[in-house]
Amino acid sequence: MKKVTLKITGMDCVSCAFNIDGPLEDADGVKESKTNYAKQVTEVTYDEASITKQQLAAIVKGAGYIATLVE
Amino acid sequence: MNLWAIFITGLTVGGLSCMVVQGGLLTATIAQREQEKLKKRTLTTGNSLPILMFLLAKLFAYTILGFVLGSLGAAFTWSITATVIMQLVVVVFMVGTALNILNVHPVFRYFVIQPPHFLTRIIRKKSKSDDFFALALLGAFTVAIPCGATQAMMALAIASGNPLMGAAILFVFILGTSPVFFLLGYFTTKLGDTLQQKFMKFAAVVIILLAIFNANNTLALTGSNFTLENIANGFYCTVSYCNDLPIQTPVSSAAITIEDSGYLPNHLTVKAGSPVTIQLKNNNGTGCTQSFTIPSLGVQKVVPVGSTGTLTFTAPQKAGPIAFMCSMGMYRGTINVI
Repeated sequence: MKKVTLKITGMDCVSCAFNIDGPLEDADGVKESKTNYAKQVTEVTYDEASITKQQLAAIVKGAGYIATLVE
Repeated sequence: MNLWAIFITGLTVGGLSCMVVQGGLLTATIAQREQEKLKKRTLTTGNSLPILMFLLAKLFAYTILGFVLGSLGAAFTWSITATVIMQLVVVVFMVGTALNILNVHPVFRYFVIQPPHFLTRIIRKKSKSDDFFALALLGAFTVAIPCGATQAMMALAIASGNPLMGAAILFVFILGTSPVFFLLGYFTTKLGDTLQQKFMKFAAVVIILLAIFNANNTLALTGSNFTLENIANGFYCTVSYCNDLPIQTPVSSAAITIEDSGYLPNHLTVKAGSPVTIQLKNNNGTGCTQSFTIPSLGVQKVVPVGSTGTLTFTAPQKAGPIAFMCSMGMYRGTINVI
């Protein structure tokens, strides 16, 4: 299991956190997704073998937000 | 404040400000549910039933909360200082919420209460297996996500000092907020993004206005004479002409009745340094008017609806007007010390 932090742009309400965590946690290989509205970041715990960071960012993009990887 | 006024507050300001904080969760849940339905191609009917479930559960949860808060108010007597602090917190929270919607600075994001992760997770899981249950659960959990106006009403429920009155206050208020929630939930997929943005901006402005009104009441409650009305009145009297306060013979005892619109009479004259007795009779003053308060003297008398009470105090040595008001500073009057 690995942890990655995504910086989110375009999140302007608390419920957006709901919109991001939902699809991420539905994806195979994602154990947990925690979005903090105030900090505008999403912390994802995932299995490297089944999903990549780029795929995670793509899921967020699909939900209507922009995700940037924080190294 | 009577129950009608509370209902109207809910219908207007409450609906808007609470929707800003809680409505997003409802629309997100409904949108997700619609998606599932779209996938299954079963989207044939409108989505009013789940919204009603949400609203009913919310109404139920808040009524219980009102009952608990009313009991709490009955158990403790809130000091004037405690009320002032509580109201100030509400004001700061409301302004913070509004400035966040208006995107003034990222720091205001911290004023928005984000429901705990485990809660949203439960709701999301439930929404897949059982729509109605999830939305009802979400409705009940909005108690944990209070918005500016709701917090003010919760304070009012505490101030009522009566479990049934507390329950009635929150019931009527939440009932008032329901139409906005219903419309938002029903048209969630139809309401365009731009329209929603405009709606939010409007709500933010209303919240700020309400916060100013609240702050002014709080200021009055500290015993300060620099309330907005007094400043405006002073300005008007400087540029135009005003009658001075009506000249009255000073009294040592007075009778004041409490109506749902405030105190009658709301002006009396007393002699400096003299003992004063006020007979209070509460005809139909519910909510904060039940607590007759003179902040500058630190005296307060709670007179529940239908009862009478006597308040005695010694007038200050210094001549000049002092204010009396309800425990939230909303309904006011003056005692002219001569």
